[in-house]
Amino acid sequence: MSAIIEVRDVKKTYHRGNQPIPVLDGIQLSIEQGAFEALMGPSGSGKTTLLNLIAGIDRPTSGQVIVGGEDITHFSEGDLATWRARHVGFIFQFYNLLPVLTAFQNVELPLLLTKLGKAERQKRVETALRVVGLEDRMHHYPRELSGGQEQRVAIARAIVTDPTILVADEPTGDLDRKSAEEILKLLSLLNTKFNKTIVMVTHDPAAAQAAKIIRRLDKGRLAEETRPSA
Amino acid sequence: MNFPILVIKSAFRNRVRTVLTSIGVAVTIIAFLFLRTFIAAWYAGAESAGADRMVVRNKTAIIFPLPLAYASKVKNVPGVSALSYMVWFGGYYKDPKQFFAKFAMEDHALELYPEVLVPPAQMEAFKQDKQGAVIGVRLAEKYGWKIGDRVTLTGDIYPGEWSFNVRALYTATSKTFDQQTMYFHWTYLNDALVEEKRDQVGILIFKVGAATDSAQVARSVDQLFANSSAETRTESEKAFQNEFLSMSSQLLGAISVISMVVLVILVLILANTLSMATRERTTEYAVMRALGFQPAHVVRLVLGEGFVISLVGVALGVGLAAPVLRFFADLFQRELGPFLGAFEIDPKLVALAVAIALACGMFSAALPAWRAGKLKIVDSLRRVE
Repeated sequence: MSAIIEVRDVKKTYHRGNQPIPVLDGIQLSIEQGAFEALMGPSGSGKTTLLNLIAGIDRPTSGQVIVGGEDITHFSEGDLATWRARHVGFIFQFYNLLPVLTAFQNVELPLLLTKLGKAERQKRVETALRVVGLEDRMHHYPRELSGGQEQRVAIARAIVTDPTILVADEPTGDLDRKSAEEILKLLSLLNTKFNKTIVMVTHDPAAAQAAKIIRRLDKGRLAEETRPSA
Repeated sequence: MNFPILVIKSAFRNRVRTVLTSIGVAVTIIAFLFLRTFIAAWYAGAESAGADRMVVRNKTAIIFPLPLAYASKVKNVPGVSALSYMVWFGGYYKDPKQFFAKFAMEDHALELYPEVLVPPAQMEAFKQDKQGAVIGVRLAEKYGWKIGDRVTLTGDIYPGEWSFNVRALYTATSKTFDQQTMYFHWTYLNDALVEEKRDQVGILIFKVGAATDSAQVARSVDQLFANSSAETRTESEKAFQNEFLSMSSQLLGAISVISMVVLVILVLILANTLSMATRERTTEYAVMRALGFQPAHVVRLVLGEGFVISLVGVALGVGLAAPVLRFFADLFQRELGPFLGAFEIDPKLVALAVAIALACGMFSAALPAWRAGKLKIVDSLRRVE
């Protein structure tokens, strides 16, 4: 299989005042098309920073990030935004739905950036909501949904544009065990049935078991790679 | 859904705050319209002045009279056509605090004011009655006077009790012409005065022909009485009325400044709300940016919210301004009628207020919008997570 994500000797350093704080230190990573990988590690290990670099919402201090054959490292802000709209689906820990929009409208939000007509947008939104099992809740506002349902709406929003990769940052971190299991099943379904490439950051070893590959980071370096038993 | 709907929904994210802000905008709009209308109304009297009417007064001060004999001399100055005269009576009706203007006029004085309409039969009745009076319809409404009523004034400049018969009611084609004035016969007043106070007038009023150089006529009139014991000052009616207004120029200037301060308050109200709103929603903007929205989209969203909130406030303000100003118009007509012209909202002023308020909305949103557009996605997401 070909690599859909390549991270080449990436370093990332933040600055607090004049003091440099290295977060990633020469990461080399290759993720194949259709993979479902979990990034684990202690707080401050750099897993979320690595995810942000792959998703194109942050830039490395040095090195290259290549996604779908495109080196996004030197994209302009505008080009990077356009690229994200087309290629990346985000799933956040706290769902981050817009409270003034219904589930339908939240899922439709990324499609406003496309040239799709209203009918086509509606079709896609309904399909995405059907995939996550919330077609009967499409006119509900986030406050009318449970945490698990909100996260499923967020997943529908992430897949509605049919992106190249899905990035999930602690997608089960704010959920109870039952809801977390449902979300992980859904992610597995998206990976196996729809062949979506998923990169997930998690603290939770149980959540990481849903992935096909678990990579551990420690102090800004990739430490080990394991494959959970099925 | 489309982008404008997203803007509107976002503007009403915190409904209580948006409604309160809109009410704040509405109040400032009403205050602005009220203050500017007040100023306009103050100047409306001068605006109603006839372009072809000239006024002659005592050069020393308006309170000093002119000899009646000047009338016939001025009438002979080339360029002067119709001429008449009046004198300020002062006095009061029952209560000194209840003010309205009263003039003793030469019988034909109102003929110089084509904007004043008096039914011919009533005017004839007035002319036939030495104690007759012509009264503005609004003054008649205020006191419930009707034709045939007897009205007694108490004089101050001209002491004593002065009784009049209401013989005519006038209306005016111009809204700015005061309709709360009382006119009566100058001869009635003059005949009742002691010998040394007789045959004096307050002002002479005359018309000049359309092609006449009014400035030259004014100079000719004033030259006639140069170096006399009662030198004159001749000027257009508008200049004459503006002199009265200039006495209150400082007050009007202060009101004008306050009306500008109101706009500053408007900007502060909106800026405060939009700053709070954008600060609270930093994560939302970051999420939108992460989803692929450009900085320009976020800027437009915040600017749009400022526009929507100010638009709601403007609509509310303009909608309420009419009844509020009507209330004050009635109040002023009752209490200050002779000093204020038509207290009505000028549509141009409304258009100006709308434009200013919307511009203020956009201006207030500019800084929050710029900040929202510049936010770093990772930093903003980290605020919550």
